[in-house]
Amino acid sequence: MWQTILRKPFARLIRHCLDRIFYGGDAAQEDELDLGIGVALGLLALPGVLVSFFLIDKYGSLFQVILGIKDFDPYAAAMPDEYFFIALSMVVTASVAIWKWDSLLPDRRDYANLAPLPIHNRTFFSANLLALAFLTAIMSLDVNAASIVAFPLVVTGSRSSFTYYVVFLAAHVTGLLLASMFSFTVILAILGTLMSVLPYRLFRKSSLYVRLAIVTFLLAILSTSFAVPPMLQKLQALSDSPLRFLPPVWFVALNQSMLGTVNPALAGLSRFALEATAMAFVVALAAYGLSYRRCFTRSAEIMDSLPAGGGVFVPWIFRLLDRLVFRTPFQRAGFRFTMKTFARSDSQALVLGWFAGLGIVAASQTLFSALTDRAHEINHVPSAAILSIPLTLGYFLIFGLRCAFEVPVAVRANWLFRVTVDPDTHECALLARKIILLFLLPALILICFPVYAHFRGWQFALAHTAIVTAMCLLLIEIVVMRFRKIPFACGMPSFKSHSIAAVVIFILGFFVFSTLTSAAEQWALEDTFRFFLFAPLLPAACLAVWQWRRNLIHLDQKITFEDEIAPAVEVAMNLGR
Amino acid sequence: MIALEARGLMKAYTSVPAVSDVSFSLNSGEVLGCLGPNGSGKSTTVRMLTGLLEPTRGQVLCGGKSIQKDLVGYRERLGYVPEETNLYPFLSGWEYLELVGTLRGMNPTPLAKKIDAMLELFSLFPHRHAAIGSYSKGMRQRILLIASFLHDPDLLIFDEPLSGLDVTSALIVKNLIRGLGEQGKAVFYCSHVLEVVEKVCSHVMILRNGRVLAYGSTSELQQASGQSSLEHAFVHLVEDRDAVQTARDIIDVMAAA
Repeated sequence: MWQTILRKPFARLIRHCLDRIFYGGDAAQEDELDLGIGVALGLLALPGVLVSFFLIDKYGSLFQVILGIKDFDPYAAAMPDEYFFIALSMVVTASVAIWKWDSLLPDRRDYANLAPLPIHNRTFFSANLLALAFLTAIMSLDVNAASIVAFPLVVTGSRSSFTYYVVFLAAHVTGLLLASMFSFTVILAILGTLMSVLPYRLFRKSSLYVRLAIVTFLLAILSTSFAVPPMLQKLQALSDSPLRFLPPVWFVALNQSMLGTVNPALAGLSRFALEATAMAFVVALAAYGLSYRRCFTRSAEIMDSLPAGGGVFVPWIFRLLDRLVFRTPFQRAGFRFTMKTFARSDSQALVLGWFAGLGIVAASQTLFSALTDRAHEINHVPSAAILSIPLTLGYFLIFGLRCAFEVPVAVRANWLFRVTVDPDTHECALLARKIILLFLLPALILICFPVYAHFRGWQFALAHTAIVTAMCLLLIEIVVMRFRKIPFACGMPSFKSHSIAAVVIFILGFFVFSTLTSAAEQWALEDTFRFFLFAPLLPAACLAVWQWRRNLIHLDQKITFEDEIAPAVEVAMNLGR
Repeated sequence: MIALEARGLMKAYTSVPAVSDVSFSLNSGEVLGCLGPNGSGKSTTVRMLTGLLEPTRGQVLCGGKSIQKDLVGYRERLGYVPEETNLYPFLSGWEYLELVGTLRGMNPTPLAKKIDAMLELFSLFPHRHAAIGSYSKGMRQRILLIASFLHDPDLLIFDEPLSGLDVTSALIVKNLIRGLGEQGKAVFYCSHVLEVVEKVCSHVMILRNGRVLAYGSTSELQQASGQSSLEHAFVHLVEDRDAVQTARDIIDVMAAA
């Protein structure tokens, strides 16, 4: 019977809409970074699992005994963590909506394929709407599934009452699911509103920038997870507080109301959470209807010709860089191609924007903690936290670019490079290095140096900027060491098959690069002798990496367009030559 | 002078070869047509000729030397139009051609002039700054054609170059191909459209099931098969089913309940 229902035209149409949302849209199509549904859902649920795991200690009875905590109230103690989970679920759900921005609403390809068929517009409208509703529910459940199961158990585990657990579970689930649905429908509302209001050309041009702005906002929301909860606990009155404008605060208030532990100042916001969610649904529905009518049903009448972009100054900048930086035809063409891809292709720009945003969040958290705790400043040398800020930003920028280079764009069009580029060119790593440096060096020279010079004097700023630059150069050498692709022109990213390991290495690398280095730098800066001991280590490390790069076998330098490991026999044959 | 030569080309992906024992020679000033039904190995042959695919056996020679010995040098003299219009949709037509020219080491100023002139001649100048993603199929095909000529190659390999072109553009390209041959260029022309091959090509090679079924000048093929036109010769040599009867059978299936 189930099979019969699924074969009905309307059900088939819903399935088509879901396939379109999951597997592609107008612009990206088959070259979009496709993690596969299973991997995607798994990765989305991962943060909830990890955070729940790390909170076991906090709520464990043994922990409380060791710390001598009596009268421990899990409900009240859970508020900061509840805020974090709510913020995380909102950010992750909204991120999915942004990632699938182009495929949420039906496009011209749908129109071209389905309009000639005997399907009413309202049928397709309804099918897509149901698909979106289904997707909203699935995303909300998946992102929060692990924390829904694990977190209430962790929090109430020390209590023997089942009712205690059920009450907490109900409040936790309600807050999380409503927060996820709210954030997803807000993105949908923004998308639909822009499509309804703006001319199509302006919508396409502005789409990327709107998304980048939303990503930045989302990351800022996530970064409030550490600072806001203590403020909420001490809040006396909400009317003057800017906290009332933060969406996670509304859902925390709802959660706390259901638990009976809400701060009186926040009580009014709990009802607002429900109203905001309902309003988001209504606006999203209206925007969807208007955009459907305006864009989809009139697809055939909308002019297709869109300007590619660029400006008056762009060719001038390219020519200048051709003379100063990119000296060969391959480097010049590769640089132009890379920059235009970043400027016009959404996936790559979003990957870079995501990393940059994470870096900004991490750095701002560090700065906030460092400014509130000046105890670690020794002999007028800034704390390791203050020193680590440019390292943090540099780390995320370098990795953001390196990861973005792996994301393919229109991969079938790479035949152009296959036919024109010398396969034995050894310039891929060089090109990647130069592009990363072009992003990094201006920031170091124009931001890092002046800021530290202003607060600590020019000598200190010079030494610190030199150390940061050397570390960044070393990191760049490491990340591009065996890079032998033209950015964006290779097939499947290699990290798809080992993404978890890559994340672990990324986190460990961040710890070494930012935390340990800044601690070592602080140690070195306390004493001149120590500084002269520390300073030569960096160029020595760079030299060692450079020498290793020189000794790479030919196979490791040959350009590749497929992300495959050469068979052992082929490697052996090549070594024999 | 022999510009391009294939000797015993074979390509096998599985135990059944896609192309087997394909040999031909193409002289400067000649236009060699390659015909065959779907799955006959035309595209595989083209990819081997361009060096995108390495043959399982056999060689491709340019000027008497294997192209594998100096693939870069060979491609510098080669202009190629692939069958599928896979282009970068976010680049404008002008930017794409500039990318091609820059990759080929052409100087920026003469390159820019050439691009403008070519776009004008192919009626693409008003659309030069529009994203390729918004181009029609014919416009993309014209971009591919321009990209293949930009560096004035000696050897051109076309795989269905008229696909998507309007009548005027197709006429221009047909005359262009003839003109290229008269200029001393060597042209390898792969197509399904028999009428064009008959008008444009001096020699024809017919493939079937990965093998060369016939090879020679168009008049030789017509005489050998005893047919009045290349189309009839092709059908006589290749087709193993009655097209008229097959069409009737399709109509019968359509009308069936």
